[in-house]
Amino acid sequence: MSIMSKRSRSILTSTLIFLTLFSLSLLAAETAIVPEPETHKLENGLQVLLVPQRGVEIATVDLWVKAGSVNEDPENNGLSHFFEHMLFVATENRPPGTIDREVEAVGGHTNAATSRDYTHYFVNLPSSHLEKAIDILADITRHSTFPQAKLERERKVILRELGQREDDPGTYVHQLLWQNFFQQHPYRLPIGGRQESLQNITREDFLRYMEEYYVPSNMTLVVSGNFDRERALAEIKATFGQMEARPSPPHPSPGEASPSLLPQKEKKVVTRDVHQDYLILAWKAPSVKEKEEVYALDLLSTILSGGRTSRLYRNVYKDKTLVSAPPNAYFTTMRYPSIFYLYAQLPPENYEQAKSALLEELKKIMEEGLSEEELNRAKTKILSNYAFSNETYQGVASTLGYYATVAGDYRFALEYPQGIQSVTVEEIQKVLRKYVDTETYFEALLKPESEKGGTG
Amino acid sequence: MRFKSEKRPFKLFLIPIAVALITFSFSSHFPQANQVEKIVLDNGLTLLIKENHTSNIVALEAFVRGGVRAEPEGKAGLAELTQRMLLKGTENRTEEEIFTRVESVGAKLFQKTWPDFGAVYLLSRKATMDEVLPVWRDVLLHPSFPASALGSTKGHILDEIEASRDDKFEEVYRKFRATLYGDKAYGKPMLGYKDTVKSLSKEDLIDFYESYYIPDNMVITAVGDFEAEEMSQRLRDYFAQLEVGKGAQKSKEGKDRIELTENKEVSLRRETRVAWSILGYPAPPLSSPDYPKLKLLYTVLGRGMSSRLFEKLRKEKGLVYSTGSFYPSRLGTSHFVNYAVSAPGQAEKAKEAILQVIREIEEGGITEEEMSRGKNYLKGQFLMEHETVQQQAWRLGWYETMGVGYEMDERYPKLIEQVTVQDLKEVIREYFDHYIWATLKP
Repeated sequence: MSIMSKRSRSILTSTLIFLTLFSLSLLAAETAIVPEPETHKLENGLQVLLVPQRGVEIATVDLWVKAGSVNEDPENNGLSHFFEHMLFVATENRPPGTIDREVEAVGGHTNAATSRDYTHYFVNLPSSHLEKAIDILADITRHSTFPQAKLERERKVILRELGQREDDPGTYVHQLLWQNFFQQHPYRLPIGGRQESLQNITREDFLRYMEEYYVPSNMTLVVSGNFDRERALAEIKATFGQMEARPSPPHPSPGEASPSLLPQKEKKVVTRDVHQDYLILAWKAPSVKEKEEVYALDLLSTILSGGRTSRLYRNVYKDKTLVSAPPNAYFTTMRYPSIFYLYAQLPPENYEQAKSALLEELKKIMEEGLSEEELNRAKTKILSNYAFSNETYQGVASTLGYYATVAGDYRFALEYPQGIQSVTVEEIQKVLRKYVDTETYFEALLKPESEKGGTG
Repeated sequence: MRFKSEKRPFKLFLIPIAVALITFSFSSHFPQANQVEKIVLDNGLTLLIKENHTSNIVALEAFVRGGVRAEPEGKAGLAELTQRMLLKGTENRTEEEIFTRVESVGAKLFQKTWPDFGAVYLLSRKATMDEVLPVWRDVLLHPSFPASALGSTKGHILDEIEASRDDKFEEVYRKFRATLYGDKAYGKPMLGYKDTVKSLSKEDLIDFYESYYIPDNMVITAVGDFEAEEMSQRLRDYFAQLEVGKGAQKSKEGKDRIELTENKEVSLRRETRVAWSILGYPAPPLSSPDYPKLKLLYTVLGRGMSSRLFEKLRKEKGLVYSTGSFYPSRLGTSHFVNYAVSAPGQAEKAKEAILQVIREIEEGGITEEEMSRGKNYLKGQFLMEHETVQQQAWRLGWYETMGVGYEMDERYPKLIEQVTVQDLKEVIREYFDHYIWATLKP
C-alpha cells in the first residue's frame, strides 16, 4: 500500500474529475453507440429494422413479438412460454426435428426467450445463409402445426425446466419477489406457468394465441450483421410480406392504480435446503413511459452497484465479510410500472446487519446527495457498458428489438445516451424519494432451514 | 436499463462455452492469424499483437501459466487468491485508486483463474487507452498484496465456498472431478478448501507470484483499434526491462494419463426438484492428436439442439430440459462429460439413454450428413466466438499459453476437416471404456 500526501491526492482527484468529464464528452462525440437502423414498414404492418455492419461475416435475425406472460391469466399461465417452445417444433413445410438441423447444418443456432412483456426468436448464422434464417422465422410464425404428440412431450420438458429453475436459489428468490410484489397486475404470474395451469393448455389455445398475437403489426424483425441489405429485404418481403394484415391484439391496462410508495412493509420468507440467505428489498418503479425517471434510476443503480467504485461494493462488500458477493441494485425498464430492488447473498448470521447496511446506502444518497464527479463516473460507466454490449451484432439486434417492443419505439435506444447525460444530482434524489422509503419495502428472503432469524 | 433476458441461460450451458473452447477457423471469413505480430522479448515474454478497426475498442490480456495446476500441496486456492489480490492494490495505487482511474473513463479491468493459467484483462475504448494501460501494467508488475485486503478477500472466498454448495450442477460436477482426479490438481475446486484457504499467508502469495508471474511464463495479447507498431513499442517499453526471474517451476502434475479400471457410481443427496447427473470419462489433453476427434465427437453427441443427446433425451423421450456434452481443453488429462437434468426418479433412464446414444455411434457410426453438419456447426460457432476484439485476444493468447501456439487458430480447421467417421468410433473405444456416473438427487 502506498502512502500519498494530501497534496498529491488532491491533484489526483482533480485529474480524475477532468478525466471523467473528458471521457464523457468523448463518448458523446463518438459516433452513435447503437447504429441507426434502416427502417421499413411492410404493407401488412410489420416493422423491419436493418443494421448492416462490417466485421465478421455472420448475422443475427431476431423476431420480437409484443406478447408474453403479461397477456395471460391464472388459468392459461405459461401459455406464451409453452408456445415459444412449440414454435420450433414443426411447420407445414418442415417436419418435426428438421428446423434445428437445418440451421445447425450451416453453422448457425437458434434460440428464443419469453419474458413478461415480449417473446423473441433469433437465429445467428454465417451471413451467406441469411435467407434461410429469415425463411425459417417467417415459416414458424405463419405455418407452425403444433402436433399433438409433440405437445405432450414438450409439456413434460417444460415441467423439467421449471423444476431446474426452481432449484437455483437466485432464480427462486426472484420468483418469490414477482409473485408476491404484485397483487393484481399480471406481472405477478410466473413466466413459465404453474404445473396446474400448464395441464390446461391445449392445441386450440396455441392456434388462438398465434391468431391473436402473432400478427405483423405486433412484431418487429431486426437483422444485424455483415450482410447484403438488398438480399435481406427481398427475402423478408417474399416471406414475412406474405403474412396477412390483422388488427393488433388487446393488451392489459397500465397496471395497478396506486401511489408510488408502498403502503406498508411486507415480507415473504421461504426456508429451504440452502447454505446462504438470498435477500431482496424492493420498491415500486416507473414504466418505460417515464423516460426521465428511467434514466435517473439506471444511474442510481450504477451508482449503487456498477463496478468497484460503486457504493454497495465499497461500503457493504469490500473490506467486510457481511455479504458473500457484491450486492446489486436492479431496475428493469418495462412496459408497465415495475420494480426497483437491492439483491444480496449473505451468511445467515449477518442478516440484520447486512440489511441495515444496504438500506443505509439509500438513506445516505437521499439525505446527503452525491457529487458531480460520482454522477459523471456513473454516466461514463453506463455509456461504456452500453457500447461494449453493442459491440456484437446480436447485442445491437437485442437492444433495438427490445426497445421497439417494450418502449414501442426503437429510437429509445438511440436517444438513451443523450438521456443519461442530461440527468442531474437533484433528479436522482427526486426519483429516489418518490419511489423509495427505507422504512417501507417489500422483502423476499430465501434462507436455510435450520435458521430461525430474520424477523425484520 | 433493459433487462438482458428473463430466460436466464443456465450456467450449465455456459460451462461448455467457457471451458471447452471449441475452435474452428476459416481464414476467408475474417482477419486471421497471419496478421498477428508475435514478438518474444529477450527476457522471454511473448507479445501477440493484432490490429482490428471494426470498433473503437481495444482489448489487452495477460496470461500467466500456472493456475490451479501450479498450486503446491496443501495450498489449494492459492492461484485464485493470488489473482484476486492482484487487483487489491499495488506499490503505487490502492484498490480505490486503481478502479477510480479505470471506471472514471468507462474501462474494465478484471481477472480470472483457470485450471492451467491465470489471466488479467483490460477492455477500453481507444480514446481512453492511455489512461488505463499503465494501471493494468501496474497490477501485473507491482502488486503489494496488502494485508488489510487479504483478510477480507479470504473471508469472501470462504463465503463463496459455502455458497457454491447451492449450485447443484457445480456440486455434482465437483464430485465427478474429485472421483476422477482424487487429490490431483484438476480434482481440486478452484476456490480451494476452507481449511487450506484459511491457512494461506501473504508469504504464500509472494512465493507464488515470484515463481509464476515472470516474463518467460507470460503471454500478452493486444487486439483492437490501434496501430500495431505503436502498441508493440509501448508493450516493449513496459515489459522489456523485466528481469528474467528464477524460472517458473514446471509442474509435472497431470502429465500422466489418468485411466479408470472400472465403472464408478457416486451420488449426493439434497433437497432438489430434479436429478442432476453426469456420465463422464477421462479424456486426452489439448496437445493430443485425438483432441480434434473428441471435439467433433462432443459436437455430434451433445452440442446444439440437433445433437444426438438432445434429440434422444429431450425431443424423443421428453426426459430432460437440459442435456449435452462438454470437453474442456486441458494441459493434462481432461474429461469428457455428458450431463442430463431429469425428473428425480428418471436419472437411471437418462443414464441408459446416454449410454445407448454412445453405443449407437460406436457400433453404427454417424452419417456423412451428420458429420458435415457437425463440422459446419463448429465453423459457424467459431466465427461467432471471434466477433469481439476481446474474444480474438483471448483465442490467440489462450492457444499460445497452452503450448500449441497461436497459429492453432488457423491449423485447427484442417485438423477437424480430416476427422473421419472411423476416427469417432475409435476414440469412443479408446477413451469410453469405463465411466463415472455422478448424480445429485433427493
